[in-house]
Amino acid sequence: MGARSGLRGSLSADERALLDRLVSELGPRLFAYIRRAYGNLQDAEDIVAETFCRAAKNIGAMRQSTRPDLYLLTITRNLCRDRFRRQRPEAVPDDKLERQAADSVEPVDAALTGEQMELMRAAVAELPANLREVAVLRLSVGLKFEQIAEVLHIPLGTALSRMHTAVQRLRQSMGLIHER
Amino acid sequence: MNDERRDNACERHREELLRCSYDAGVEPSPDLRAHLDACEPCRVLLDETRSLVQLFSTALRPEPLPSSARQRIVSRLDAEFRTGRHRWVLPLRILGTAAAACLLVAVLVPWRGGVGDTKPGTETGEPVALSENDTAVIAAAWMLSSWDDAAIEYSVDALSEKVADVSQMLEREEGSGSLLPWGADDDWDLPTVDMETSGARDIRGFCAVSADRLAHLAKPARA
Repeated sequence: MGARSGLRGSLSADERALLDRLVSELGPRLFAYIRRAYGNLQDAEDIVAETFCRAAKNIGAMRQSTRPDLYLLTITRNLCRDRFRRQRPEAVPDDKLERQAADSVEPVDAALTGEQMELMRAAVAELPANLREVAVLRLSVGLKFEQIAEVLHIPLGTALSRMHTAVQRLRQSMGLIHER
Repeated sequence: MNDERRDNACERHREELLRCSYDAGVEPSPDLRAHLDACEPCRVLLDETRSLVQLFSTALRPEPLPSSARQRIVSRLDAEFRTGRHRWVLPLRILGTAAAACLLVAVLVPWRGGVGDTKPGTETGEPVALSENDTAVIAAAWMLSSWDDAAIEYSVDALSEKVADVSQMLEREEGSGSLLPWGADDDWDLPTVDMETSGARDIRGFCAVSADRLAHLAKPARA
C-alpha cells in the first residue's frame, strides 16, 4: 500500500520543488489562458489550483512528460471546458473560416496607448470561441502551431487557418481602434 | 511575373507564409524568400502581419500570477499533499521523537516498578518486559506516525520497508546510527518484532498496542 492511496497524498521534497517551480514558470500562462480564452477571472485561480493538484496526483506522468507545459495546459483546458461548457459562445465552423478571411492589409502603428491595448484585448475576447482559443494559445500562451494542434487535437493546417481568420478579424478591429 | 503565375506561386507558399507570419522565430525558407523578393503583396502581408501579431502579443502578454492565486495553489497542495521533509530534518525528527520515547520509558519504568503490587503474569495491568528493541519499535512508530500522516495507512510490510529505508538513509547520510539513542548496531526489524505478537495489523493498531504496553510497563527487559 502506498502513501498516495490514502486520503492525503504525499510528495517528495523534489516533487514539491518541481511543482513550485512550475507554478512560478507556467502559472501566469495558465492564468492568462483562462482569462483570455474564457474571459473568466473569477474562476481562474480555482482552476489553476486544481490543475496543479491533478498534476501532483499524477506527478510521475508529468515528470516523464517532455513538455510539462502542454501537460498542464491540457488539464487546464479540460477543466475549463467542463466548467464553462454552457457559457461558451457558439463556434464558427472551420469550413466557413476560409471564406471569411480577407486579404486587405491595414497599416499598423507600433505605438499604442493603454486604452488601445484594452480595446485589442476586447477584440480578442469578441472572437468566436474556436478562433479565440487558437489566438490566445499563440499570442498569450506563446505556443507554436504544432503545440496548438496537439493541445486542441486538430490538424496543423486547421490551427493555421483559424489563426489566419482570427488575425483578419483582429486587423479589422485594429482599423476601428485607430479611427478612435 | 503575370498575375496567374504569381497567384499560383502565392498559393504554393501560402502555408509557409502563414507560419512565418504567426509563429515567432520561424524564418522564410530560401524558396519562400525568393518568392517574397518577387512578390510585393506577400512581402507586405508578411511584414504587416508580423507587426500586428507582435502588438497583440504585447497586449495579451501574461501578467505575473496574482498573490491570491499563488496562495490558493500552495494552500491546495498543502491541504492535499504532505511533502517529505528536507534530508537534514528527518534525522533531527528521529532524534527528537526517539528521545521523547526513551524519556517516557524512563519515567514509566520507575513509576510502575514502584507500585510493587502488580506481578508479572497477572492478567490486568500485567507488567510487560520491554526489550531495548521494543523501545526502538515504539519510537519508530511514533516517529513515523508524526512524520507522515499517511503512515497510519501503511500495511505491516509497507511499514517494514519504510523503516528499512530510514535506517539505510541514516547510515548513508550520517555514516553511523549514532543519532539513535538505542545504538547504531540495533536491528531495525521493527514490525516483525512486535507486530506479530501484538496482533496489530497496521501502524495505528501497533501504536495503540505499544502505548498500552508502555502504560503497563513494570520493568525493563535487562533489569
